[in-house]
Amino acid sequence: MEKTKGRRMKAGYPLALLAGASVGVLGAGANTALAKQTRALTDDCKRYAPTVGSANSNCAVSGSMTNITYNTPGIAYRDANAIGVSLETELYLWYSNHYMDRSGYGYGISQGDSGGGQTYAYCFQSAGAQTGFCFTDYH
Amino acid sequence: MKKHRKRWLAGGGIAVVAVVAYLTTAWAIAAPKDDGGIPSNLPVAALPVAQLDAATVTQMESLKMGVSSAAVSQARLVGATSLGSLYALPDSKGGVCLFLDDTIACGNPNTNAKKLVALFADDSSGNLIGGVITAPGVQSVTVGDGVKTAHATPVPGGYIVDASAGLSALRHKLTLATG
Repeated sequence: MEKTKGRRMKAGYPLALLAGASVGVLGAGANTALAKQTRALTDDCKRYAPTVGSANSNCAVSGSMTNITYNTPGIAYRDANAIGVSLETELYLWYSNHYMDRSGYGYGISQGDSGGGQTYAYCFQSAGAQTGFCFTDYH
Repeated sequence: MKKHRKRWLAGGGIAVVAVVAYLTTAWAIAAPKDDGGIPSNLPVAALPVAQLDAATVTQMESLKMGVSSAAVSQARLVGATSLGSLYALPDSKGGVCLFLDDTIACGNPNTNAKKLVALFADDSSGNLIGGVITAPGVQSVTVGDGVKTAHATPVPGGYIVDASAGLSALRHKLTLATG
């Protein structure tokens, strides 16, 4: 009986170690999630291309971009605006108040705030159909 | 007693593994990416590493291009423009980024069709201001705004475009060519 218990205990060690590792990983993940949540309280992000996403959810996930120009569905105080694409090409970012019209060539550009006032955010990529995303941080 | 000791040992093991796993995961999430430096064959890589002020470092890291503190520590000063200093720094994809006036652009001159990465901003008059870094062997860069073209001014490690070029940032008709 004692021997059997011993085997049970030995067999239980890997499970115990796995449980311990899981607790550690989940703890660290929760800490990171909390940090993201804290940032989100002051600064939300939203993907506006190729499809409009939910606030603070998958802001920089690429999809099929069929248009060359996209813009946000509404106005807000913009803290940042960014585009990322798979094919390097001419890229533009701008706000509807025409503050910080930015352009370049590469696979991504990101710009800072819109200088006050509520604006639309725009992104443009000249390669035509390709994969990519545009998102903005706003408050 | 033996039974209790084994339980204590098992419990202690779980706690140790949990702490180690927590620290390892937290480090993996927080650790800056190893950006490996600017590709060594690019002319801009030969420039000395720049000394950046704290405000510039904060701006570079806050922009949404995943620029790490390791990358910022490898920044090179490409040149001065009327909107401030133009810097080049490595990115996490093996390419290079340009930073100017709270904006960053990234690409890979070694692999893209035009053999360059470019970044332009508008000044208060709508002039196109910025710069270009190129792959080895490029002898000239021509920039256009849809109406006018101009040669970018060569500087050690890249090219600069300033208001004197007379290009507009507001037409959104950027053209770039290397020679």
